[in-house]
Amino acid sequence: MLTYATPTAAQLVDEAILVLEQSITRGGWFGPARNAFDALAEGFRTRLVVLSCQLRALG
Amino acid sequence: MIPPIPVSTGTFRYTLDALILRSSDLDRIAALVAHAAFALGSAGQALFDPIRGEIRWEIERLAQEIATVRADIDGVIATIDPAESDRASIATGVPWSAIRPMSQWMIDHSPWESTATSFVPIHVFDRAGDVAPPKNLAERMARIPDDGGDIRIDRFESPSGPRFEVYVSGTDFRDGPENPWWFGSNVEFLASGQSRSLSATESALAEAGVTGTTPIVITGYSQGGIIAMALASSTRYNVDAVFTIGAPTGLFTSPLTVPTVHVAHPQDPVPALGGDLRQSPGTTWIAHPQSRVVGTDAHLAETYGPTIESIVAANDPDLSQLDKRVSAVANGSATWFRASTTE
Repeated sequence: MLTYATPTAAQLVDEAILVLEQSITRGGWFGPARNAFDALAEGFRTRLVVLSCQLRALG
Repeated sequence: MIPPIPVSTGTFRYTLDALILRSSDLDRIAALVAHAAFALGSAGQALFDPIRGEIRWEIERLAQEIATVRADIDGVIATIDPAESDRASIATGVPWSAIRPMSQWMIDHSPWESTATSFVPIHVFDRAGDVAPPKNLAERMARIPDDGGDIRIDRFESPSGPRFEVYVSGTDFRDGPENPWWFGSNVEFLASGQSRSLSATESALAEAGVTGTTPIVITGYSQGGIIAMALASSTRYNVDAVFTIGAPTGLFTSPLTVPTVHVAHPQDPVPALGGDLRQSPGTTWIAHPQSRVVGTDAHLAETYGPTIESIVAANDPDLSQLDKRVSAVANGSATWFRASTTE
């Protein structure tokens, strides 16, 4: 887990990306249910990465 | 909204545990993203910085979407096992946890001894020729008659003899006891394992020429799903596959040797009446309705239609393989039967 004294929006989004990636790569299941979840999670991850870049550009 | 999730009896625990973990992950992610929107500044501050405001709006929207998916997953968790409701917020799976204790009481206190169900005659009210065989679950569901009490049976010839597709309609809530498909037949079946609607369906099968050896595929909606499962459990017929939609299939706990596929909405109270889906043999597809409806609206056949289209569109290999295995190849004929009502 990432920790910051007072997390910025970018840092919070980065931590969300980290948790999401762990959720995607966590083993223990397979098949259509996992495929369905992974497709949604990948979509969220892409949007979070874009947001992270935009937040850093804001400064 | 999450896509349909198939849960087979043999792997439900596996899927359930995986979903509970993902629900927990999404809960944390949604909280982090919502916190990020807060950290970016107030909505008032964003007014003076359009770019910052746009980013903040996107973050808030994303947090909401993540929370919605989490709620959908919780609905699936509650549908698989209402006892897990404490571990999920059951934002959309309320019927299962609310109805489960009531239905369990009814199941425990119903007299399960066999009762003599009188023979129910049927009559043919329509026929059609040159009927194409159904290719998937959506086409099967589309052939279930709209009126409760109606049964459609398609006959297809093959080199090894005839094979049949049987479509059984659901409860007719407009009628009383004079119609074997009235609501009370569900209770009758729960109490005795028999019902006049089941008897009428067997009459239609005999009339159509179905014997104990001719292969049949049965598709049933609601009460028709109970009948489909009862026929497959009886071992009196050579059932190739069973498809049910919005049916309380948890009533049937014995393993079947035939493939069974069920479709249930987490918001639908009727499947919840059957108790745990984990007890039900076969594979259950749990999907949220395309439009967000609750209560009896979630049980309507027209609500299940788009759901089933989405399941077919998922192109699940097991489901596609089953469709190919049980579907006839040449055109056949269709016959519509109606149970005779008593005055």
